[in-house]
Amino acid sequence: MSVILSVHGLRFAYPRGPEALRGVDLEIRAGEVFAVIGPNGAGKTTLFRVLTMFYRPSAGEVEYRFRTASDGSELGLRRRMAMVFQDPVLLNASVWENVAYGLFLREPLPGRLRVRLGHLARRLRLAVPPSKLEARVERALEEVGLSGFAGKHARALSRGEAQRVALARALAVEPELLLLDEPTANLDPPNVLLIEEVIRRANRRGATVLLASHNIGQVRRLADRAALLVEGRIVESGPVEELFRAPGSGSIREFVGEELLT
Amino acid sequence: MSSLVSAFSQAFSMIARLDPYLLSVVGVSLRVSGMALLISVPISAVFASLLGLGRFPGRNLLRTLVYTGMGVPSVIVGLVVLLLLSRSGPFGGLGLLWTPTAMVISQCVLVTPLITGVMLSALVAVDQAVSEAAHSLGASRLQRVWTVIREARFGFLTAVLAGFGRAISEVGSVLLVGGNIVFPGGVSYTRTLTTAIVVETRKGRFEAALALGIVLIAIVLSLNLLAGRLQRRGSW
Ligand SMILES: Nc1ncnc2c1ncn2[C@@H]1O[C@H](COP(=O)(O)OP(=O)(O)OP(=O)(O)O)[C@@H](O)[C@H]1O
Ligand SMILES: [Mg+2]
Repeated sequence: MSVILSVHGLRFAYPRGPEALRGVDLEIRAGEVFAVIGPNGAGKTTLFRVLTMFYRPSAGEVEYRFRTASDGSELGLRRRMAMVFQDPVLLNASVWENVAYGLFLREPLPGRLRVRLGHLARRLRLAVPPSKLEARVERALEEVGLSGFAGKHARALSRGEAQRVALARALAVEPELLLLDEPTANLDPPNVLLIEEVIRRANRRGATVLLASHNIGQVRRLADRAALLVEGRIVESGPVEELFRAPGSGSIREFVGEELLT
Repeated sequence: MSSLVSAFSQAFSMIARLDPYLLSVVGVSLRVSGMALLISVPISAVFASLLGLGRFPGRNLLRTLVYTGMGVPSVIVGLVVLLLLSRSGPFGGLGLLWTPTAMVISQCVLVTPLITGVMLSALVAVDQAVSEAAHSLGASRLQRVWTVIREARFGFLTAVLAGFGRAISEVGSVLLVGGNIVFPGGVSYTRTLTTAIVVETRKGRFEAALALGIVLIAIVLSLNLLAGRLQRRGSW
């Protein structure tokens, strides 16, 4: 299997903070679901922020090997990824605007104007067929089970709905690498299952998924391989079924708890 | 109490019969303050964006200066502009003193720190996470900045309203640099609603002064109502 992301000796320290990443090595394979597990403050979110180029690493390197990397520029690479955050961060606008956001970023001006004109025309009761962009938004909303929510304001959503909108927004741009930072934290069981199903489908359609999670059950259900991050270092990694097989290594046992090993 | 009632009835009758003096005074107020806003708003938006989203040495000092400038008394602004435009001043040759242009200039100077300051605090209040989310979904630097500005759009609207309210209701600077001039036919050249109120009050015509005040408040109120509707619609 080809490698989509390879990370070597990655280090990062927050200004005036302790070193949050202390030499991380990782190889993510194209098409897999890779889980990063670890205690609070281990550096999972920080790792994702460096991988999405929100922060520059202080040492080490990340190599992106996307199939469709347009021009190899930083922006070109970034546009092959999308991230969903621990807490859904939605724009102060309708659900539709939120899901369309990433697509609009990539759409040249004429295309954007065409979509806006189409909206206007439909408001005047003219029959305008949906553009490609609109079709994608619609599909992404269907994907997360929120078809009827397009016109609703993002502020008027429950937490579970908001997280599903955030997921739809990431899926709409059809990323090669989907980074999910504890996407089901603080959600009720039905929403957790729903989101897991969406992740599975996105993965089946070709997205490589990097998942940070505290939920060992979820990692078992979704991930092919996993790594345990502790204090900014990967202390254990491998296929999920091996990683969680009893008796397990000391660090895994300590993090997961005896009873969860099989 | 009775003077308040009669002020209201006088205000309404002036409005109802489209009193030419009133119309010309309102016209000068709206034109001067409107023009001042038209110039100041884009400048303030650029300042606020640089100060709110840029990173450069001296930024915090500049922010403090802007916030301080928000409360500068209008007479002081008027005085400085007066000195600059007076015949012996550096821009005296332009012959702008006691013209509506001079009033526009001084109102611009007056409201720019206020509008910039309100826009700035709206930008600073946008969650840092919005910027990160924009980045993570593939926004370029400029798109990221634009996204944050869009998130602050209601604050920007508030800034414009505050600026207009301050401009149209200030007396000090328009009185000093405009000169409160009325043409012989009773049509205003540089007399605004506020300076007209001063004139009527000095003449002891309190009800006429109150009537003008009611018109002034009605203008500001209707603009705010309009803006409130825009904000509630929330679809932009
Ligand atoms: N913005 C920040 N500024 C300074 N230090 C930070 C910042 N964000 C995180 N840290 C520190 O970096 C370390 C790693 O934090 P990070 O958020 O990456 O952990 P995490 O594994 O995602 O934890 P959690 O499971 O709680 O989400 C912690 O010690 C944290 O205090
Ligand atoms: Mg985290």
